[in-house]
Amino acid sequence: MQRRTFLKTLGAGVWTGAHLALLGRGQRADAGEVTAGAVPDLVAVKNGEPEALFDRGIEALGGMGRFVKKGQRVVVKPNIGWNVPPERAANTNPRLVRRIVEHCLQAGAREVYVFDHTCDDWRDCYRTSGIEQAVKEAGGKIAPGNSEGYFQQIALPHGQRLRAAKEHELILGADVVINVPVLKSHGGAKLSVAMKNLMGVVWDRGEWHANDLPQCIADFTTYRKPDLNVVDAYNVLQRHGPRGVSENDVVRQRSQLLTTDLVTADAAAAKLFGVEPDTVDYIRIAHAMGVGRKDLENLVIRRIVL
Amino acid sequence: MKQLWLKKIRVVVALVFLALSTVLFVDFDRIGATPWATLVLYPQFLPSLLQFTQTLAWTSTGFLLVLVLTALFGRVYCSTICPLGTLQDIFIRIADKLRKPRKVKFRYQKPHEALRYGILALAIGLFLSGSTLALSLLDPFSNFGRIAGDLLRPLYVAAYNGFGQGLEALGVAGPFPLQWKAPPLAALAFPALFLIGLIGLSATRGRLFCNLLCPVGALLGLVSRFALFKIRIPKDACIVCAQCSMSCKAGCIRLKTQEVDFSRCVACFDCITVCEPQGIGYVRPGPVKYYPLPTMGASPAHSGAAPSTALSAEGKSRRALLRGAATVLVGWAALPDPQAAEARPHNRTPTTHANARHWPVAPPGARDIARFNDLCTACHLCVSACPYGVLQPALLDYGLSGLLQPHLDYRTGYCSYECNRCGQICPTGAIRPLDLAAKQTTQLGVARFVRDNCIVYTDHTPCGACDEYCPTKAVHLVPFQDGLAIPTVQESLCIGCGACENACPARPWRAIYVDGHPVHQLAQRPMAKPIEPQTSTGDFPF
Repeated sequence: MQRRTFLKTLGAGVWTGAHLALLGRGQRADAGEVTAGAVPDLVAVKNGEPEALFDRGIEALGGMGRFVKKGQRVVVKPNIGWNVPPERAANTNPRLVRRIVEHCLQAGAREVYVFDHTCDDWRDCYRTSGIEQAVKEAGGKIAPGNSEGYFQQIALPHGQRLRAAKEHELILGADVVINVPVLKSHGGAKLSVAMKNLMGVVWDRGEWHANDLPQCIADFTTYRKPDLNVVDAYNVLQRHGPRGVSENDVVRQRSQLLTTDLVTADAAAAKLFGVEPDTVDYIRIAHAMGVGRKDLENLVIRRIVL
Repeated sequence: MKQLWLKKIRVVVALVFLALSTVLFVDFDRIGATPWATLVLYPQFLPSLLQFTQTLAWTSTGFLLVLVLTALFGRVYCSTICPLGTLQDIFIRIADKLRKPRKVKFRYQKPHEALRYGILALAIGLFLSGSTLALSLLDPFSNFGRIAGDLLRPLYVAAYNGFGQGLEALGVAGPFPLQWKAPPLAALAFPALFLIGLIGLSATRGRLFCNLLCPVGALLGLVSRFALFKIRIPKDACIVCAQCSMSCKAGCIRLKTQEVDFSRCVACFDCITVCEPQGIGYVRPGPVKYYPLPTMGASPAHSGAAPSTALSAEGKSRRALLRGAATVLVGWAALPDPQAAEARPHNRTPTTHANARHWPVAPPGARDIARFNDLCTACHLCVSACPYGVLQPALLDYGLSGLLQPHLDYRTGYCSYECNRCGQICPTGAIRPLDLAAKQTTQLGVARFVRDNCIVYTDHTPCGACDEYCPTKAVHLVPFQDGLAIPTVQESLCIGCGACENACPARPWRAIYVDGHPVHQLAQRPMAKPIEPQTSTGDFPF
């Protein structure tokens, strides 16, 4: 885990990280190695199994090699919040997580870590979600996020309500962060997708709830945006989210969204879910703050139906 | 024939039971219920006896086995199976190592039968009149559980996690850290005081706890009086060297008469090991030959006289100690619950409405609070086993009689919808096992929503943390003002798991809390029709 290394680089990391985020670190690959016109802003894939959806989706987005370079340390952040099995769709599909880990390792990643600061007991969640097993079988490392000791204080100078947070050291020390939310309904935030999924990399979520939840969700994205967002919409928890009560709450959509912009991911996911992006407060706020773009009509979208 | 093997067997069996019991209490959370847990729990006398009153099952007959063992061999339970007994033996051994050489270890002690059986009678009387307070404060297994579970477990967790961090610092992937949710500090005072007292008592007086305060020891003593095998001093062979008496941690060998008070003997067999003429032995009673005592028989008079003078002096200091302990105990019980109103609000407007909890929340499987209070001896095995850290020792939540018995403390955790572990491991049957389906419809209490404390109402910002965590959607959001949504509770669906209360960020008073049921109720199983699949157009909505 090399906590010491983190601590050493932390001072510099916090400083540069905060600024890089605003300079659009997430998009750095766009400008560089791939010619602008060839790469879509958003890839939407449907009618397939999670693995096939991802294979086609990442290919359309320029391949995993665009995001993961040889020897890099990758963190994959699925939603593993709840102690429920995959068919309840409260957690990211383990088959998708497995596939992403495999792609990262094929692209030459040195290490691929997977973790979440879960809501239910983390061991239960890791096991019941099937994600722990999937990650291990794929050759990744599953890391805990349940202890405050793993979280380091960061400043959010561009946050409006949220000015600081304690972020998991794995994210702070990662070369590449891949955000893999599951699309689901959510009581307080209406919808849980890519931006909401980042609540699982901080320690104190109660603070967000007590302090204007949508604004805090948007504020946190000003720190560091994930390099890639893969929205799992294979099974969609259409109501009673984020935990769900039974499989009756789930609709099978067999879809997936891939994009470097997490606001775009959330906007497109909202459409898939059946709500207008503007009705989800944090999407509207994040767009207004310039974190990312929700205006799908002005973006290059690659639609793939398998 | 010197029966040295007896002590060897005793030590091995005792260490096995002590080690397994310790692991059970400090690390249950990680290892879970294992077959050897049954081995440790089955013969624990009081838990087994209490459980038998509930189950009448052969799995709860450990106490009968102990009675039979005692009738045959004396109080071998006290020297092997009882983890608190072995713990005292360890304290005794350490004190012995620290003692100046040649100093007398132990002497014959008066039986104090009135006090000893008085305590037993009091404990039984209180139990029959519906209070386990005396039993739970004196039961050896429960006291051991509180020492290991409440005091040792946090140290173990810290050491375990420290070790993991050490490995990480070396670049090796360490084990995942363990969790410990702190109980109210006052709840740790009793085991801490008990432990200090026990160390002092065992270092100076050997197994006096077992022969004065322990109700199980007193009860088994009544049986062991008539045991088939007993420690006996053959008067023909005895040279009255006093070695046995000085090594006897139960203080039950009386040299004056060369007799062993077998009702107090804890069957440690130390006397056999030290007996020079190899006379003292563990034998079936037969026709006893009486020989005149050797002339030196009168010489070790000090062993008889010394304790009585010492007692009068020590008696006073002990009374003072007891008074002091009682003062502390009362003071501690009267301490306000430090977590009742919580500090450090994140919410802009600190909440003002106190949570009016009428009943504490008893664990699922407790059935009703009165029944639960009558059976629980507060061993805290469920507290150790609870993966969510919601089971915590109560202070006066149940009243004085339920002191230290576990209740669900939603400030430290919530009762997982998918967990029924406490009922599966409760050694006394106070928490009955529930299968998962039954647990999921057992209503421990009902969530009460306090609108005036809710952040949506006070700060006019969205929250919904309670709705998020609710496993049945008894707590759900309904439209409020300006597009905001506010929680409401459908009581028939609520099982009182406290996930909502635990998640609620409002401070110092939460906006939703669970009021316990004195008698657990049946909740409705949540039913919702499947969602109609959307008619797929084959294209994307963007």
